[in-house]
Amino acid sequence: MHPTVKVARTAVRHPKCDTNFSSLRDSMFSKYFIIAVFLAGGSLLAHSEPQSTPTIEARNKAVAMRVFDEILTQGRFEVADEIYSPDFQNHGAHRTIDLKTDQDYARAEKKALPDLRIEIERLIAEGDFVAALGTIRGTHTSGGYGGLPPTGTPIEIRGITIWRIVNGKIRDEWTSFDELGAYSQVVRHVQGTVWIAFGVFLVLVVIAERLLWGGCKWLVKLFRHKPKPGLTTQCSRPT
Amino acid sequence: MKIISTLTACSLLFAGSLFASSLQEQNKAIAKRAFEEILSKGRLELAEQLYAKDFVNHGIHRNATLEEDQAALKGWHQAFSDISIVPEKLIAEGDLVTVYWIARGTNTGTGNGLPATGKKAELAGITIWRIVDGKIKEEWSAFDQFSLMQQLGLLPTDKQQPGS
Repeated sequence: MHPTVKVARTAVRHPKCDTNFSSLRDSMFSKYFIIAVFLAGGSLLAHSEPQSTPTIEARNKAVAMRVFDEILTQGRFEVADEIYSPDFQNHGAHRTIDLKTDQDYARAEKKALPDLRIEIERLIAEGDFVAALGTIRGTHTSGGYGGLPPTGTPIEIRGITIWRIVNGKIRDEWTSFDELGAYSQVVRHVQGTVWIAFGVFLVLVVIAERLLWGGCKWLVKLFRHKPKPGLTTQCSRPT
Repeated sequence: MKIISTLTACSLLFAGSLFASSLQEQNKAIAKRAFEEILSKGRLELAEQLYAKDFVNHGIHRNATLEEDQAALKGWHQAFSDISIVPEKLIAEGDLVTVYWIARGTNTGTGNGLPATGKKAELAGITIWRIVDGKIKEEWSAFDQFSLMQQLGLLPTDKQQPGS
C-alpha cells in the first residue's frame, strides 16, 4: 500500500510540478527575502542605536551650544526658560543650586567679564548626557569675583560641564573649573601692577634725589665762592 | 548567491553595530580601571598598560607628559594617604570618555605644595580622556582647587560657588 500511495502522491503532484516549483522557489525566495529584510531592518535598528542616538545627541549638543552662545556670550539671560527645565539643579560637591541661583552666578560672571567669549573644544554626548570642554576668556573690567574691584586682568578659565538634557531641556548640571587658576591670574596681574607702580615710584625717587643733589650743589656754588667739601655732604643728608 | 550575500551583509552590519557600541563600553571599562587601580590605589606600575607612551595632559597654558602627570599623582597620594577617587558618571562618544569623579581623603602628609593640615577634603572634578587602541592618549581635566584650599583651611571660606 505504501509505495503506491507515495507514487500516487508524487503522481498527483507531478503534473503541476512546473508551476508548483516556480511558485515554491518564489515563495522560498520571498521567505528569504522577508528574513533578509527583517534582519537588515533589525541590524539597522541595532545599528541605529549609536546612529539614531546621535540625532538625540546632536539635538542635545545644539541645546548645550545655546547656553554658550546665547546666554553666556550674548548675555541673553531671558532665553534661559526655553533652555532649562524649571526643576533644573546644578550639583556641586557640597551643595546643589536651583536655576535662579545658577543664572545669578552666570550674570555675575558676565558682569565681571563683559567681553566674555567661550571656545568649545570638545562636545561629547551619550544618551541624555552632554559634556562640554571649553575655555572662557575675558577681561575683568567690572566688579565681581568675590567682591574684588575691577582689575583689568585678562582671565582664562578652563572648565568642563556635564548636562543631563531631558525632552530638549537641561535638567541637571555638574561643572568643574579651575577657579583658583582664575584667582591667581587676578592676583598675579595685581601683583604685576603693584611691582610696576613700585618701579615707577623708585625711578621717581632717584630722579628727585638727583635733582635735589644737583640743586644743593648749585645753591652751594651760588652762595659760596670757594665751597668747602664738608658743606655739600651736610646738604646731601636730608635727601 | 544573492541570499547569501544579503545575509552576510546583514550579519556584518550587526557585528559592526555591536562593535561600535562595545568600543565605547570598552573605553569606559579602561577609564574605570585607570581610576580604580592607578588614580585611587596608586598602582603606578600599571600605567604602561593603560596609558600610551606619548600621553599628553592638555593644560590651559602648558601640557604635561605622562611622567609629570604621574609625579603629580604621587604628590596627591603623599598629601592624602587614604585618597579615593571614584568615577561617578561616564559619558562616552567615539574615542572620548568623560568621567565625573569625586575624590575624598585626609590631608595627613605634605605633597603638591600642600602642608599636612590633618583635615578631610572632598573634591569633585571632571576628566576627559581620548582612548586610542585601548590606551589613554590625551587628557583634559578640570577640578576646583579653590574649594580644596578652603576645606584645608588654607583660603578663607566666605565665598561659596556652585562648583564648590
